[in-house]
Amino acid sequence: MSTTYAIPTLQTVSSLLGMIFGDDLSASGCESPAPDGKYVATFLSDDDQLVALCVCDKEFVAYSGAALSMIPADVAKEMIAGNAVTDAMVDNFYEVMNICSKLLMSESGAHLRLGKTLSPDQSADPIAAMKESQTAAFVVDIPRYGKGTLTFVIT
Amino acid sequence: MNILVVDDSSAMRMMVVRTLRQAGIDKKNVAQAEDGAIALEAIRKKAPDLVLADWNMPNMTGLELLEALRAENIDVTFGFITTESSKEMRQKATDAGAQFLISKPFTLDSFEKVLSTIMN
Repeated sequence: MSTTYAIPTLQTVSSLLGMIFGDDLSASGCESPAPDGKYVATFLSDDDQLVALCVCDKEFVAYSGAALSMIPADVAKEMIAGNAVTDAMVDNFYEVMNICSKLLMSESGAHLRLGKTLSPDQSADPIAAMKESQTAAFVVDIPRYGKGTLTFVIT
Repeated sequence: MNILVVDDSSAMRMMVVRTLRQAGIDKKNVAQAEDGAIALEAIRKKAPDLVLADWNMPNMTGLELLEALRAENIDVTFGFITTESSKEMRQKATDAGAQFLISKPFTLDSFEKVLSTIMN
């Protein structure tokens, strides 16, 4: 089996997240934002090596987490304004990232799995470890919630 | 039909229960467990008609749960709902005795197809 991972595209990101959050989800490509102060999901190879990250702003974490549990958008907006994303939202973010692991795999490529999700104060080390890697960044507008940014970082 | 939904994510369990309801399964016939170990205890006490389990969970994975059930000759109908949908993982699921694998993110249609096959 190949040791390479898939690079998410606008089409695969829109399609996969649309299945979770609704067909009216929209997404666009963007420049990779600075990773400081972001939430991070780590992805591990079958031999437990760090092979990819997904770096997300608090907007994506709050909106995706709230949408998954059908928590009102106003509650998510308050979390963002107060810079206080709750543990429940982070738990839901973990599940969203678990599903997003599919974006990094192809039938002919290598297998990986979600490792952890890390809060902004825990994310410096994996970001530093992957700083020379390729990236693919997207702005995603979750229907009835709002826009957030996610950046895939892949070895 | 009594169904046990096994997933460590409460949001995902909620989504599965909601989709089952849309597929015509009454909520009161659906129980939940947050990992394989809790599910195993629940099934030993009273086996449901169908187990829908995630693959990757703490304490006991879905695959370990299935293997434990088959080792104890508990022949409950078992399906995975998981992001692990590669050919290799599907083969592992089949080899362990799973009847089906629904890939996350799932649709109502994928549930209806599976449920109609089981009910028939």
